[in-house]
Amino acid sequence: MNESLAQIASDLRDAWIRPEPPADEEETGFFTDTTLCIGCKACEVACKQWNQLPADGFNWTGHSYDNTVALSDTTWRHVAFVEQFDPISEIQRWLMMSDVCKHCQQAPCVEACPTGALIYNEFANVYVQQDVCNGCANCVVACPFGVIARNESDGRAHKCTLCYDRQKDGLVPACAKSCPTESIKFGNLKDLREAAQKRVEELHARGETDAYLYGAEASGEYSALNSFFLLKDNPFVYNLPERPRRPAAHLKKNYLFSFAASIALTAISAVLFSGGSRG
Amino acid sequence: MADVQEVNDPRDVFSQITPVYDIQRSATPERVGQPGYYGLPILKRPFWKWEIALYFFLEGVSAGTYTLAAVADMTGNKRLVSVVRQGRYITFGTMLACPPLLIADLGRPERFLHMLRIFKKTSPMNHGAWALNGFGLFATVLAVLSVPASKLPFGKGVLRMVQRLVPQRIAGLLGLPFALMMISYPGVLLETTANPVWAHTNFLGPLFGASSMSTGAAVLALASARSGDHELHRQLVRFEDIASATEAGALAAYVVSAGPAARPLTVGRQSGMFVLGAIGLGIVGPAILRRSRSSVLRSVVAPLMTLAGGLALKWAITYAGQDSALDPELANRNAPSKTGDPFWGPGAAADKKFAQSSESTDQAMR
Repeated sequence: MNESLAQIASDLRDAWIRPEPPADEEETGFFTDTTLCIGCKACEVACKQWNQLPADGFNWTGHSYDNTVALSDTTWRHVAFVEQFDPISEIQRWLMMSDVCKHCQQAPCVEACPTGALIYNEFANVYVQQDVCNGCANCVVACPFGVIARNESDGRAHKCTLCYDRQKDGLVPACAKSCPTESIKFGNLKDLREAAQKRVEELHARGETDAYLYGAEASGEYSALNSFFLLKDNPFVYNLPERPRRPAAHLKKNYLFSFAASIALTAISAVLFSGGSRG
Repeated sequence: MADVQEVNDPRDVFSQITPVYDIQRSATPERVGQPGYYGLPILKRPFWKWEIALYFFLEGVSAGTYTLAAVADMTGNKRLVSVVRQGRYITFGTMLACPPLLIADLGRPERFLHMLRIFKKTSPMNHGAWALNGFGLFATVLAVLSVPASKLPFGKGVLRMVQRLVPQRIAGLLGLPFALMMISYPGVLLETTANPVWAHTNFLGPLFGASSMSTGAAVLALASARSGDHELHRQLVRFEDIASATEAGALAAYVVSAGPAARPLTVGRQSGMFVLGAIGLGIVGPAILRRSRSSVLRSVVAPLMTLAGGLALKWAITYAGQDSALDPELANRNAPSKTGDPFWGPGAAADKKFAQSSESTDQAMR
């Protein structure tokens, strides 16, 4: 009992300590080229191993080879399988995509986090500080990609860290390291974007004109994604939203409407109460 | 919308897939460009359940009674002194229930104070945590100031001194911004998420706010039901009428503006709670009873129905997030767009895209 109390006390103290943050490094990210993905799930396995994440159980979904289903608190890489054998357009292909946290440049989870547990680290990656997170689950409802989730056993939010620990030691994240076809590319963002643009042009030149980049630059209300994708079909086919919402973009308008109503009702109550006889 | 078990983890779809569904899906190859990924949800289900629904209701009653009592006090009308005092006791009592509910909902309850590590301007939950602190302080101070010193078993002198030193009206006025924040922020907290049933509107804030004010007035009406002050009864009935009308207007605007995103409330699993509870019990029923000749129906039954309806409203909307998260179509087109173009991919016009993106980086809040 005393030990756990001491633990709580030190946790509380540590949450307020603000050491100097590490100096900014080059911005890093993932470029996942789905045209190279062969669906081997080595990224899923490598991620689980390096990050010591528990297994998801042995389940068959019947959704092609996808038995992982979705990203979650304990699954930070997820390979999607889309079988397209279309009698009408006569296209016969398999689309495979290794999905991961998008590491948005203006991340809704970071904007929603009330404790400051979610931060942009020195590599401009979105990172959950596990010693700060108190499990309020606001990030879970804020994420338009359904990436982050709260773990039932430890009560905190978890997601891809972009292998912060490995990056600190100059290593490539586990999934990118293990990818046998270099479908998952890791590097600094400038190089990745150039390489991605070149790859799209190359594919277009070959006649694969449906190739495009998902999230390489900001669009609409949404920021660019530090882990972006090369896709060949509508984003929704891969379970990615066509128009992800950035909740904080609507914050001011929402507050305006809300305060207008509450202030108006307060004013009306003042008018009503000031009438009538005085005691 | 498929009727699925309540789970927070989308991986639990395993338990929801029947063998029949399995065979059908595997036998039908996906069409090129056919929307969706095996009908699986894009979003995660909210973890917010009954604790949060109950909190929204209680803090609404608390902040509503605070505001009405503070306003009544500021009119300086001696006739209202007793309802002001009752209002402050109710504010204090309901306020006390709020922090435990919020703390119980955390994954790590012992870290509740981490909410106050920082002030973050983009996080309504952070605003709410600070507002609850300020509100709690003023609710407590005003409850202490309202206790008649003569009724205390001890410390009468100290209390009298405190009451003389701290003017009630000024304390009430200083706490009013916190109370207004407590009334205004819960709707905004739900609106600034990616969950379609909450986010695809600007009217959830006004709806929650009007409900808080009307439940606050209902509690005051109940508390003063036995007093013979018919003028106060009339004033509270008038206010209830206006607050209920505002609530009804906000509710209609919400349903219209949310459009298909409101389906979990209008036809989904929460529709009974929403239509019968929030609208029938909370708005229509009391509006009729407030016009009845019987004073019991007017000032006891009608306020009780308003309270039940207020709880039903906040309960239904909180739980509607569960089903809404499972709808991949709404999550796919989650952000508003005039043209309907996707942000990236086939159909995204590059010229438009760059014009919009420079605008959105100007508004960047990091």
